[in-house]
Amino acid sequence: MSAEINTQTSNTSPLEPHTYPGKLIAAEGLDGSGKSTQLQLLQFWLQAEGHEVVVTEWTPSKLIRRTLKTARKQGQVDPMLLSILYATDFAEVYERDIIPALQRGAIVLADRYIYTALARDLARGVEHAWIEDVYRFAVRPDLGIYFQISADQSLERILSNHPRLKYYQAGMDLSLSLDPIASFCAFQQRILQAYETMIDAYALLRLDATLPIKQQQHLLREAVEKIVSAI
Amino acid sequence: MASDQHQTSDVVAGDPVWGTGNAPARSTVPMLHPERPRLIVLEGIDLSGRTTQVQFLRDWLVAQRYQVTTTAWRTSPLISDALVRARSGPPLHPLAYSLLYCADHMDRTQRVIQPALERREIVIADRYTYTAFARDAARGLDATWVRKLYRFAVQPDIVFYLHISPEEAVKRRMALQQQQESHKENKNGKHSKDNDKEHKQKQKSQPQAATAQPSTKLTQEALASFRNFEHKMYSEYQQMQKEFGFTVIEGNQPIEHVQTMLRRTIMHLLLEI
Repeated sequence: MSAEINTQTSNTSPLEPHTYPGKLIAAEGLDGSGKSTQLQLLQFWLQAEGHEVVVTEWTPSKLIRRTLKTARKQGQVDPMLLSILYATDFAEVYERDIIPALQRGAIVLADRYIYTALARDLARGVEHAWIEDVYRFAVRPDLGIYFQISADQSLERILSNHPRLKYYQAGMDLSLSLDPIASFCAFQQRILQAYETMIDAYALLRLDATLPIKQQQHLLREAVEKIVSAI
Repeated sequence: MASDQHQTSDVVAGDPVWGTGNAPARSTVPMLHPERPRLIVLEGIDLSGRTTQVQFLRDWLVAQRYQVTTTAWRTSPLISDALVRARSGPPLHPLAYSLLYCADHMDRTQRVIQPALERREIVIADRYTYTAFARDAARGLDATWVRKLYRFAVQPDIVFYLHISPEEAVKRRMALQQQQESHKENKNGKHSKDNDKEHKQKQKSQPQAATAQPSTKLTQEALASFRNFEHKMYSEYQQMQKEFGFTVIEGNQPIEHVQTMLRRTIMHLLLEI
């Protein structure tokens, strides 16, 4: 894996580039890949440079959490339905937080963009073409970074933070294993494969997330400097 | 099509006495089954009479011993709750709304429509994907994107478009409002006089509105936005007519005439191989 980040965004991404005055930087990767830490460091740095920075997170809203709870009581949730519910959640973050910030000219640091959802949906066996079309409403980020770690590293980091894996986080709906940890690992392997297919297609930048925090941040800043003009 | 089949449909559809017309048909052809499972869709702007017509169609088909399943917009047990919650909270943006409605349609497709068609039933849908196409376009979303979103939907065998003008919808909406208000008035008796605001608005178009209390002004605004939205929806439906080959039925005629026309067309459809 290269320790360098190549910032030229290719034109291959199915997403349309945006024309807003702001800049959009998206961070993707498995749970526990350290992207939130890196984004926070980027945020402080960019703010110190005088930029308006907005950090957006994609955590399931109350609305969706409740709906999923109801759904589970009624039996298995179809993967396509699950994916459209997650897409609903993302769409709301997108229209409510991301777009207005880009219109204002802010730098948006998105802690997960569409790629994580795509990777999970693909891991659940949802039709590729369809789900790609669903997310086509989202604009192409100016910089999309993939924080790469292995499934084992992901598990290790998560378990050291939260003692319990959540149902959907562990991919328990896929019946890969009755054991949440085994299920999680199998699910993460599938997600990793899905990420791999997207890195080139969506021109994501691969970052070795096992590198020391400082070194990662250094690489990130280099990449960000190329797209964010100095004030 | 065989000649005896023609005859059957003529007996039913041609019967001038609406609502009783199936009796002779049933005696000659006691058990009718569609050659294939059928998905019949009724579309139209608000207050075009869809729901009433769907109910009559269902009763008519059931009376002929057809297995019928009906499904309506926004009725998935899973998503209807979420939609109610979404409405009580801060309003969602158009994309999220669009996707939530899509989830409703998907849930009903999986749990209602497809299973019924697999049981070889007749499915009647009160609104279908076209409602989403019209609404989302009226809200400014990309028409192509919305159509792709609904690619999973089952292709209907026929789509009836109950055509009424947006002004007719407004007229019906106002009549409905007055009906509800006079009903409320009868229930509540005289209203209290302590509200100053309502006196200023009393002289507007509805004399009954005095009992609508401080919401009279809101009602005017709501009506204006209703009119605006129905106009937009109407123009979307007009555009979709050709794109999807709707069977257009004029909705601004007596209920029984509309029903007769629906039945005639459906009868032919059910006898088709």
